[in-house]
Amino acid sequence: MSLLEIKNLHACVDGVEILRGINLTINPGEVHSIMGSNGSGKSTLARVLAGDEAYEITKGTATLNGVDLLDMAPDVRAREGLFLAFQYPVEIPGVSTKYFLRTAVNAVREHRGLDELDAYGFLKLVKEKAAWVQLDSALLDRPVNEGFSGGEKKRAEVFQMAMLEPVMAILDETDSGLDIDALRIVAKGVNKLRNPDRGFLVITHYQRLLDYIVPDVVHVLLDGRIVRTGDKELALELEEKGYGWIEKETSTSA
Amino acid sequence: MCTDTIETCPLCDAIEKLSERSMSEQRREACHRMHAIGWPNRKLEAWRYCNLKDIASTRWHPAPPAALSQADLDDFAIDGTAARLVFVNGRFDPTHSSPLPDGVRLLGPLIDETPLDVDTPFADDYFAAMSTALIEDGVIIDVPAGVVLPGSIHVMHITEGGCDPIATTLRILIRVGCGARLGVIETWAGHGTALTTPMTEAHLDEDARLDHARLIEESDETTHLGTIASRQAAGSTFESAILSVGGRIARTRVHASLDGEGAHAAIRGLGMGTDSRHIDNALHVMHASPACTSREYFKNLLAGDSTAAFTGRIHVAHGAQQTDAVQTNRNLLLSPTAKSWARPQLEIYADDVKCTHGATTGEIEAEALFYLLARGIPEATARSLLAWAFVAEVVDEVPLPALRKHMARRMLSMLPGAERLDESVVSM
Repeated sequence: MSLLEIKNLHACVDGVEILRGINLTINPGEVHSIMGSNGSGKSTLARVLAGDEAYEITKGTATLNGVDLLDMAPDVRAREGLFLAFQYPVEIPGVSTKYFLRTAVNAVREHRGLDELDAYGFLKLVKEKAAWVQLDSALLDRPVNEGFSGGEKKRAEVFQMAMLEPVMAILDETDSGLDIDALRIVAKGVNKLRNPDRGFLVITHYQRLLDYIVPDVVHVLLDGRIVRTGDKELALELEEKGYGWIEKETSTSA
Repeated sequence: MCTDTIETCPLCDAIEKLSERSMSEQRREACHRMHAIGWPNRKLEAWRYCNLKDIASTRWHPAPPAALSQADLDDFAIDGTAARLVFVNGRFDPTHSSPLPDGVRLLGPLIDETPLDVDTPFADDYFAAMSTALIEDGVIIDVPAGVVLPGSIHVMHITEGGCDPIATTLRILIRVGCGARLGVIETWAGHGTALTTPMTEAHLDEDARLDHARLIEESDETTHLGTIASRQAAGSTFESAILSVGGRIARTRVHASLDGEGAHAAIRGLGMGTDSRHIDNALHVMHASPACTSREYFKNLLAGDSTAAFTGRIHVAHGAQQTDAVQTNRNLLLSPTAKSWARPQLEIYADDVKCTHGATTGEIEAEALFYLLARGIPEATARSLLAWAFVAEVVDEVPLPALRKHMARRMLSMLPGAERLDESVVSM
């Protein structure tokens, strides 16, 4: 059975249709990448899948492990194993990262029928996973994302992903604003999480990230539809020719 | 001497009973002042959001002496303070107090020779006058130049109500000498139907520093109408935190006067409204000299039918150049029936001035909520956590560590949905 299956998905925000019939199937163990120019609907797709209520689903279906995803509240989707690494991680002054994360980890564990992690077990896990993305654990005593640099925020997102062990992870432009060293660290963290049961949807504007997180399938999103699907070579072609090339071809064929 | 009807002077009884006892000239004069000012009503700008009808129709009595049980104290004690001075119904309670530290005296025995209300910024305030009319005791703290008092002095006022509604008060007079440093925490708590009208006046000499807090942890039957006045000489720093978590009305009027060049005042407020409580803060920050800075950060978390009002006047006098004043008021509404009002009032008579103010009222931010949900945190827990975050941000800024902990615990114990949070959310 496929892990994530999206069929003819349409979504609107403020009456404007952003997604106009997305079809996408991700099998366990696969890494898919969605590329597209600004405004093509990449982030909308990510947020719709995670359950952002600002968007209205007007048509289509999405299932996670065969279960209707769109019917679940966002927190249930997360506990069922969906994870969204935010393009702009939110700062929450007044709540330490550790407290926030322990609450999240234990909510997910409870849902999976596991015992709560005690303080010792939690800190052990934090230490191990923080090392994956070279995140200073002193940072985790600070309020959530507050005072984090751009790179630290993105590394913290991947760290959270490692802590929550999702079955399906969506990375929304995790590479934006990263220098090459930070990009490598983030990619290394993601690659450590790759396994035969887990799926990834890597949303990016640039091919650069895909040098480090090598995708199995690359899709090009244009005006809310997937207009081209290929292997990693497609990403290189896009890098070379630009999005205008696809836009032109699409309008000609239409 | 008191011939007004109950509608115009609800404290007639109280004052008459007082006048049967020996009464000093200045307290008698305060009585006259109350009459002259008249009972405040909501048509007056300063009282627009504060409903005083219930107190107007109550027959108040001056609080009688009362005994205190240790249990009453424990809930409001703060660990790690240098001295604790306990007052019950406006009178000093030596049994529950620590020895008076150097430089600290009781006002009671000195009351007739201590000029009160000299130069008061509250000459027009009915309840400030009432505070003087009702005064029994208080604290005089005088820190000589250069002395740094370790720890903080904790002044606790406990109201022990009986059958009759009682009115009580306390005066705290503080002087911090040149370069000296002091911490003072006030707690207002108790039970029974009561009207409390505390007044604290602080004088800071050059380069002095005072860290002050007033914790309003009164019972639900108590109306708390207090005042705080500060005068600051050049280079001095005044930090004050007002925690409004109790009382059916918790109103604090602050007058902070930055008299000397380069003085700094930071006044923070944190309120938690539940049921039909009203939180009211009225600040007047006076920039009288150049290069002074003032900060006002007031936040209220409002649940149930609670209401909050914030009035912030910043006055920048002629010649007070390089003034840097910031004022913010933020309200988080946890229920559709909670309400808040904010009124910034800027009066600026200098041209090289940085004055900013901002007021927001809203619900929990959608993006922050989505972020927590997207991590699997159940919605009810996520909402409690974000309400806590709103509060904790202010608590984290309070300069006295013992107080931070106390405030955090108090706020957590009152937070709607706190049972969904773990005590370790208090990170300090």
